[in-house]
Amino acid sequence: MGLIVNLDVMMAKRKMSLNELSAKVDITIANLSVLKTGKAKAIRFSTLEAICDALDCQPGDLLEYRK
Amino acid sequence: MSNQNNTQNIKKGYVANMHNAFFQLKPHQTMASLINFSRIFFAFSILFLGAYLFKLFNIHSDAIKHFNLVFAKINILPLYSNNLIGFIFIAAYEAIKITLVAITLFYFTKFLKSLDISDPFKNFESKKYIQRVALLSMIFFAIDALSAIHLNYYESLLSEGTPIHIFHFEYLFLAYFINVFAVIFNRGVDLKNEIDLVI
Repeated sequence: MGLIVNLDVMMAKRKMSLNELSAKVDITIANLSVLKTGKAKAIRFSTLEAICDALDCQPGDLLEYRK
Repeated sequence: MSNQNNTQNIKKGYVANMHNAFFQLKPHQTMASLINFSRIFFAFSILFLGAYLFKLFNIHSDAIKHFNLVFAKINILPLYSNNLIGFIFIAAYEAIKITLVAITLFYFTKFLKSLDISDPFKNFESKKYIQRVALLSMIFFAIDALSAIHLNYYESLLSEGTPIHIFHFEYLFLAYFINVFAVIFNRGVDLKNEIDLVI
């Protein structure tokens, strides 16, 4: 399975839409969608930091490792 | 008068484009010219294939001497009369080789057309086309080597001299070069895709 991005779960918990998050972290909706659907190959620390800041969570809440 | 001016302008434009393409090495114009050249080569290869097949199906004993050049300078008249299967093999090799050249040029033109020179590794289509060109070049070399073996065999049957037809090393070199280029290009496309998917 590998690494799973739980961005959609955190967004649902915080009741935040993709548009709102996009405006807060200054990342395009297309890129957030790539991240949400698990198609992303890598994520920059700065992006992770911005998303954690916007959703008020830890990196561990966004990323999960499954065997 | 106006028509004459237009023609002169077109000529100027065409010459200017060619100058920019091959002396100034402006990428977009060079690519456009290369696409046109490969289209012309493709058209010629199709014409050549058509002419070859026409000749093949209209063959008779008087006309066979004209085949000497096509069949690697072997006089195949005895082969045509005595060993028809051998003759068909040699003729088929040539037809297959010309067809392969035409198909390779077709995919090479498509590859060049799909290539955006400002961002060459962006398009997945170009990856597909260069892979096909690489594969076809290897098949071409294999067919050429096989035809050389057969030519040696038939020539040894036809004459007492030692057969000297060896396969073309330049085709092998070209096929290797195209394959290495295809591998590097494919890696470039994959890397570009990975970089694009770094958020």
